[in-house]
Amino acid sequence: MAFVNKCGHLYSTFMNNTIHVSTSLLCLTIALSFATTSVFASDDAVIAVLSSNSSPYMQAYSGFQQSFGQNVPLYVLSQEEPRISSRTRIIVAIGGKAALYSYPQDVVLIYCMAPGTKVKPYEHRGSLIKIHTSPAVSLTLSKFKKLQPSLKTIAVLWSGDSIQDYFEQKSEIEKKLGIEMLSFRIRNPDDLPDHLRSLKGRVNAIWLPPDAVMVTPKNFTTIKEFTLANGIPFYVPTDALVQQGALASVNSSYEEIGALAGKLARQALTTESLPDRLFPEKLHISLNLTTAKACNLTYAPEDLKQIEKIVP
Amino acid sequence: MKLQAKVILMMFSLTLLLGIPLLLTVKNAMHFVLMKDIEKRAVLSVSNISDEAVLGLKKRSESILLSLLQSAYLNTGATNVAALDQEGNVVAHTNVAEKGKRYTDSYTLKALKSQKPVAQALQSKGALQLRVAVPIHSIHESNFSEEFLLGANTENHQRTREGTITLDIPLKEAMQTEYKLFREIAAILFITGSIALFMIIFIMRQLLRPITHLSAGTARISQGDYGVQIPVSSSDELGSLTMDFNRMSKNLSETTVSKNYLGNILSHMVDPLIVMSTEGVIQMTNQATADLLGYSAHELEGERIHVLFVGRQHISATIEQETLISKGSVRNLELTLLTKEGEKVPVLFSSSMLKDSEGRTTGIIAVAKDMTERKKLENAIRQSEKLSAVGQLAAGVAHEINNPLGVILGFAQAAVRRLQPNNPLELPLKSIEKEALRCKTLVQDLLTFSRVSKIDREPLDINRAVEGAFSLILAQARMTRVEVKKELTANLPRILGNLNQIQQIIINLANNALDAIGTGTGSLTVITESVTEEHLSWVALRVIDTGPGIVPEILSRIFDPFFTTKPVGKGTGLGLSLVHEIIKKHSGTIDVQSSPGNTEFCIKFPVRNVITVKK
Repeated sequence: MAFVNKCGHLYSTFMNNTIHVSTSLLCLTIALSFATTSVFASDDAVIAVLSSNSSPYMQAYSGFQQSFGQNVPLYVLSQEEPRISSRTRIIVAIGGKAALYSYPQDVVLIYCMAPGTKVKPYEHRGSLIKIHTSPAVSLTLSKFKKLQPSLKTIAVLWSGDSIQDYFEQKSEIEKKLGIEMLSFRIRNPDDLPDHLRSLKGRVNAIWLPPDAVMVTPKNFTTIKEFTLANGIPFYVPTDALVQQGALASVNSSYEEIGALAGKLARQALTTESLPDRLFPEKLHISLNLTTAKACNLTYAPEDLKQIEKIVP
Repeated sequence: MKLQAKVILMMFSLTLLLGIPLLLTVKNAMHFVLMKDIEKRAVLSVSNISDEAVLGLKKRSESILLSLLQSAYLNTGATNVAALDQEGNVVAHTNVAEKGKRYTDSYTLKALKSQKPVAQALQSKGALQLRVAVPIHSIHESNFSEEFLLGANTENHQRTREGTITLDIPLKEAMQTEYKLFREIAAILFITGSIALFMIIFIMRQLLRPITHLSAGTARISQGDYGVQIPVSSSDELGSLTMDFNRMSKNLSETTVSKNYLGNILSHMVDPLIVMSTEGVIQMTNQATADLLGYSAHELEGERIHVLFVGRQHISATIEQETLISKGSVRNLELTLLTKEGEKVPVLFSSSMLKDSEGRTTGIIAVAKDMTERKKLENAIRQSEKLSAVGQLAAGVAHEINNPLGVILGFAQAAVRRLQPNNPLELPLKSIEKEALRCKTLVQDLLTFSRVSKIDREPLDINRAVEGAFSLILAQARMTRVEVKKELTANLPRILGNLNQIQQIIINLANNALDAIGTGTGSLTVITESVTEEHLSWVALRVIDTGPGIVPEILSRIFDPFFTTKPVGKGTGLGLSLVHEIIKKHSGTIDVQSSPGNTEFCIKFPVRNVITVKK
């Protein structure tokens, strides 16, 4: 037994070290490219600011770099303050903290990977573009319908202000897809259990939209246990949460979101006409088969082939 | 070692081999689970106070931390709880005297480096304790929710280590629980093992019972008891084996002559049977051999056959040679065997070769017929024929001599009567008279001998015959120093006989006795008595003297006619022959036992009942 524990410990240590080394290598690569850019770039019109060097932000930045096609100065807020010169015209903020940073008002601010954040127009007077983390509601729900054909009523649990405009075309979507959306704003996490109890027998599914205020570990665990116990499909905004026990997610990859930011940045360099928000269109469906079984949902092998990520 | 013992030993070894590691594994597992449980309780207890502890550690406030530590102290039953900063300095401690100290022991240093709870069993103040160190982190709420949603690894990047809370939890109770559990599991294993062992023994006995029966049956067959049947107690392979065994045994009994059967035949044979090898070594003898020769079968087995023969090696070799080489068998060879005591036994010996199923000679089988009785009978017949011939001769001779002898005696006596004193012819004439008288007596004896079969017999009291003869014996005995006695049993049953001849028997035997004693002193006793032998009644007449006895060499010849040991002219040799003849004609028997100082003639006459006698 002790030997097994020791092996487990060694494996865990090895994996942690591997992740740590991988992350470090990625950071080193980015830092080198930044150093090269800083030293050799003749133009710092575009800069990138990251909330931290967490893996999702780094993946998004990687997508941005590839899409933009040119090295830009990179700043990680958890490590240093960004140095913004008068030549800077476009700032790409990756992460909520980076989005909310106080930038010069005349620059174009493109922010992404900030699901719980909404920069208000009065907070930044220059052009302001938000790239959503999740696809548009109609697209997302249509995928849910494919995963759960019997879906008629879905409860949407949310909390932060940032998510409000996500449901602007709610009635049209309901008509188009034949799905009734019951919206519940959870202002106080302590009210969540009462809300869940009230949903029992009323809804076919529960959906947590990309709301960083709502999606806390505690809330997630509470909803997950409730849905599993009652066989209610539980949809989430990221595949990381599917991994943790939710039924399914419809989202875009972080590289794709970064690539959208890159595309917008290039567009902003050449034109004044820019959208105020953008939804990713390349979809990525994740499905947890164990949870599906608990919800009495079965899928044909052909259907499973169309799903990008399957958690056994 | 028996099969059952082997299986039990194997199972016992296997049980020990599996049981001891299992017990040790269970013990280790119990220990691990208990330690993990204690550690988990400690971590949980600290988790409950971690938010407040973060604040206390940040402010380095003993007042905030102390109440939290005391709460954990009460919840976990710890002996002490401490809050350490990142350098190991005691910020707060349930033992307030510890505040301000810096812990630099290896365990604390290890715990301070670890991002996860660390537990280690330690000896503290003579008691075993589990020291659990739980790191206290503050969480950066600004990025945390977003990164959690995005699936970032929030464990390392979003937390700041504020310090460590350590708890010393006594393990005495846990050890007692562990020991109790261990004892209970050991007891369960022992009881289960014992039950299993008993079940194995029981099952083994059930399984081995048919084998035991088979073994016993095989032993009986090996002893020649064919046809033995074993109860079939199961329908499995052993049952099939038992049925096959029964079939085999039955076939053997039907096709093979059993040793017991042969043994019965051999032991009930009247004649001795000897089986020997081709080299003449005795391999087997039957009971009749043992009865005749006095050897046990065990004594003879392995001995060479010649030990049984008079003439030993030569005869033995002849038999073997004749049996094996010359003829293949010998028939009715008259030989004399030697008993264990050295007595000779005349036998009629036959032998033949023993051959196996392929015709190879494997030994010699011999049968020896006891000829002792037959020899006696032949002797008796020979004696009878001899006496008969002598009787006829004697009758003819006596008849022819009697008349001339009468003339000679008559003239001799007339001449003697006319002799004058001092006549020179007196001596010759008297000698003629004397010898003529002796010849006359001899002739009378011969005539008597020849006329035995012609006499008349009547119911007779033998005592009367003894009384009649006794006066004559006494008269003769007066001239000697022999004491004559009679011991007559009164009221003896009658015999069928001739008084004169019975008296003649007594007188003859008495005369012989007196002659044998001669001039010496001695005694002569005549006894009559009643004897019952083998449901037959006899009247016995015994004549016993204290003379020098009869030497064994002549004992078999004393009844022959004209056999005498007396000097020439003193005896005719017809006395005992006459006695023997008279007794034979009276259907009686005569036996002689003689040793120096004691010779006894025992004559027995059959008793005739009234009806027989009248007839």
